[in-house]
Amino acid sequence: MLKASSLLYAIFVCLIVSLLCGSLIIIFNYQYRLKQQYFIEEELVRASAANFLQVINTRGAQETEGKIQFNDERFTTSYTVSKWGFYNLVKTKTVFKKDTLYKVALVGEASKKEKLALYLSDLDKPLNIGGSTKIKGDVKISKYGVKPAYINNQSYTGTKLVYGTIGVSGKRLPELQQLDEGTGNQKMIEVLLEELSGKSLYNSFYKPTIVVNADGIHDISNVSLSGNIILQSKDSVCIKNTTALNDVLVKAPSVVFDDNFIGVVQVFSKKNVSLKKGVQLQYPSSIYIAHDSENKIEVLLEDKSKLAGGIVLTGNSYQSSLNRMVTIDKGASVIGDVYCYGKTQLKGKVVGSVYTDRFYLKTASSIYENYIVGGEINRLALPSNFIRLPLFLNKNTNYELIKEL
Amino acid sequence: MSLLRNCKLQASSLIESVMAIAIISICISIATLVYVKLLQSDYEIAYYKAKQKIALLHLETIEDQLFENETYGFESYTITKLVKEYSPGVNQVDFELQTKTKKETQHFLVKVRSIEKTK
Repeated sequence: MLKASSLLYAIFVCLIVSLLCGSLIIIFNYQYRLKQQYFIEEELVRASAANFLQVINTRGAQETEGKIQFNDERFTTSYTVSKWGFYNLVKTKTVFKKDTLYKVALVGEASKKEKLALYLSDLDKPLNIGGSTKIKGDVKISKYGVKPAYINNQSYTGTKLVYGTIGVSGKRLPELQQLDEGTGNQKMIEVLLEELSGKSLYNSFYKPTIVVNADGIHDISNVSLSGNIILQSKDSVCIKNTTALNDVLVKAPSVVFDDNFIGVVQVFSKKNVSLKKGVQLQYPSSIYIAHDSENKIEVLLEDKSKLAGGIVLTGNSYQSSLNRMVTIDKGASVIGDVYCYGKTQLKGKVVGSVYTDRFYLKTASSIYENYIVGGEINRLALPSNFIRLPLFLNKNTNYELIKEL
Repeated sequence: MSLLRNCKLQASSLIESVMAIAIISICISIATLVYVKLLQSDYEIAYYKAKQKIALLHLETIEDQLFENETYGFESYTITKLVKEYSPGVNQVDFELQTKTKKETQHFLVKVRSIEKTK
């Protein structure tokens, strides 16, 4: 016989309902906490971005470190500003309880409003331009001005000699600010290139810099290097197109980029740097040679090669400047600045500014000084938000983000 | 039928039944109250919409350099934008969102781009 007892059933139902209720509360509570966590993370991202902007804006110029806050004491950002090649490297770390947000970026000086396309030292010679040469932007040249040239049965085909204002330059190029081979981190770990053959290596900018030693190896191939890495050699190196380099520094007396190489590198050399056909050094890439020598020092960009960033070829003695040369072949292009305390042979295109002591032109029959035939310098086509190389000392610089790493 | 005849169910007393119904109804009403309370304490849909809108307005401020105080009224929420100079070249932009139950301010820093004058 089944005994009926409503009270017992009622308590049982009550128990089930309370269990359901309890589980509902627990689920809701977890969901609520999750949302809170998500909102806190959102705030952390906002605070990190704001503090990062503050660091760039106020402390982007000098190498320093410290802590910064914006509006909310919970989120403190510690920062370090150091050098990575030509550019400043800003590292920030924002911490809230167990969450940490890192941000690393290259920053550089924003372009000034001037539209100087060409600065040619006043060596008491006029600038002669022929063929389809185009100079767009303001120029500063010798007091002898600019003249149309007739070379190889070709006369100047343009309507105006210079599409901008013409000013008078000084006897010397504007003085460069102190540029060094900035290497960010003081701590370094050395690795041999042989150990990395066929491998891929990424190194964070929060870790000690890895120096990949390529001494005794001429051809560098089948390796992928990215981040806080310096590829270094005491001998000349040829970087093949099977090599992938991204944001790394290359230091070697002589560097050749083989046909169709593509990468982002800042090259620091002593003798020469050569970009073979189809090489693309993407932004922010650069070539820097500061050396005095009795031998030829050359930066050569062959047909269809491109460099976005800039080239600096400089030294101390005037005598050595006669041996320094930048050659931009027909079909090659540079986006950014070219600074050459020496000769510049311009047959290709420069979107940006050219600072040079003199121009040089070698034809099948002769050699001409201060001649440009078929070259182009277009400062007006350089985007206003392009971050140029920090060539000259400027107190009122406005720093902008180049690239997050 | 024979099965039912064999199973004898003893009836509960009236008081017992009334007590059972009372306990169940109290329990269910408490559960309903808890559920409603939970739903109320959660973020409204308007709050999420407002947050999304702020993200959009922030991007617009950066892109179009819109540094003016403004109030945006929507069906279920309002957003007030307040702009002040934080440091040279950087503006502080605060977005205050208000829904029926929540009020919150989000702070941003926005870089001021210098606009080149064309002749």
